[in-house]
Amino acid sequence: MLPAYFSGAAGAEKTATRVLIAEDEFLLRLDAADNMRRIGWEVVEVSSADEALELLRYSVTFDLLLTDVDMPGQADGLELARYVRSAYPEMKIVIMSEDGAAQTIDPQLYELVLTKPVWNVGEILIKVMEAKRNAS
Amino acid sequence: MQADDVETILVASSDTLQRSMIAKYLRECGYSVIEATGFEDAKIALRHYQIDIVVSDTEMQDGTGFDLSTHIRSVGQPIEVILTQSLVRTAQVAGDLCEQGPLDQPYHPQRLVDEIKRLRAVR
Repeated sequence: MLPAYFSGAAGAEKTATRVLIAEDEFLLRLDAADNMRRIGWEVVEVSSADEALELLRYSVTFDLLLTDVDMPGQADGLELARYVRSAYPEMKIVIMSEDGAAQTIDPQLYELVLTKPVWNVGEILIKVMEAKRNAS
Repeated sequence: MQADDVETILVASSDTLQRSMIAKYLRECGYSVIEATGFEDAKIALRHYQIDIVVSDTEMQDGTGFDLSTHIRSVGQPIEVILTQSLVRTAQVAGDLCEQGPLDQPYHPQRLVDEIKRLRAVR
């Protein structure tokens, strides 16, 4: 059972944009999370796709997934993105990849691909979420 | 990263739900919070950031809270450590390593905040 404080739980009142970030490089993840919290978003951090999948299976909901591709564990970021596409079609997906790797990723899987290292990601992601709002 | 007068707490736990819940609560209480998903992340955070307090789970995927406490003591950093535990058997070891024994889980986050304030008051 989810703790009551976990506002992403099903049925909880939703206020801020909620982001799930899956990135095993600690300083990159920390910078991105800090950046997004500064603009008022709620961020949940995980260091592998396996952890992200476990969390999503608790029915914790997010507006946006920001994920690395290569992470330790059984699943990688692309498998995570495929799961999100099928289970949470409303959720936006932004993939962080190494230089040149974007061409090999199925474009159906993401709204945006960012080449690592990614700094000041908040401003970039605001545009992704604004595009979502404008589209709806 | 934060104002000078804001204390920075490193929350280290491999349990995403627990870590996120505690971190969110502490941020709402006005602390600057860094989240580490395990022992290695926590060590990187300690190298790169000025940490005032560490709240660590006793059991993490790549190490223990005791490993982290030992690491902090070995580098001589004046950081208070609060261990949270899910295993009763760890209590004795925690008492030797830290300012106090571990908090049993589950616990209300306010209890953690109270404990942090108590530690800072006696410093």
